[in-house]
Amino acid sequence: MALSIGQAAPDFTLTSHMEQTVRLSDYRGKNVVLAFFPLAWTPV
Amino acid sequence: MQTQVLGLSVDSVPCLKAWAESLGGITYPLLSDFYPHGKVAEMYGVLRPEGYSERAIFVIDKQGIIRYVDVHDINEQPDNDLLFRVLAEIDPEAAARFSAQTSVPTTPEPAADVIMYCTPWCPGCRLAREFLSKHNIPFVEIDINRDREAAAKVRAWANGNETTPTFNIKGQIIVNFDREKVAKALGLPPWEMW
Repeated sequence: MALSIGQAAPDFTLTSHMEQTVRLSDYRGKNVVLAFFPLAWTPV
Repeated sequence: MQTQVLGLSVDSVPCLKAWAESLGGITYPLLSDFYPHGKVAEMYGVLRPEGYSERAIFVIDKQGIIRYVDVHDINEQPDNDLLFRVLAEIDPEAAARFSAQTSVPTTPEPAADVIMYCTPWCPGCRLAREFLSKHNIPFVEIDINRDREAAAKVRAWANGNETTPTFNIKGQIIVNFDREKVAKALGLPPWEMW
């Protein structure tokens, strides 16, 4: 595991399914739950 | 509760779009970690050699600090209650506000003979819906993804699983669409179970 608790979350910019650009650091001031999932069409 | 959920996978945007539609409109952004392939998953150390990510949860606080990491079995789904407990720990104030908001309007059990606890997309629910309509049996549906109190009831009945559909037929609980049991509880003769 490259990251552990207490570390700063690496920032990233990705495109959402609504074709919006989402940057992690835009959510500073909010708690964020990042849910990685293997592949679409599997349960979220 | 001042919390944003972001879903991430290595699928392409059109693929995620189609999937989101099939789920009946998802309320949080699904992000495409497609190009460069799995870059973010790699950054977070959850990219598998097969080229897709682990099923993993990272909770990040308001200052951008990782407060919780959970990489779980690829076949296991994250538990909403667990997530809530984690959030309550890092931001008790927001969690308290959230509980106050959600627990006040306690939804009473609808006064119906047949209640079906379901999700919009589960295939068994669709079959059950067809079955009940075919037999002109009035029923009330409760979407357990929206109604978490109802979800807790289903878990209590189904050994901790959120099995759908689960029925409450005149007080009798039937987990899963077991045609024989459902037909019997409805007072239908055995030949009417299809």
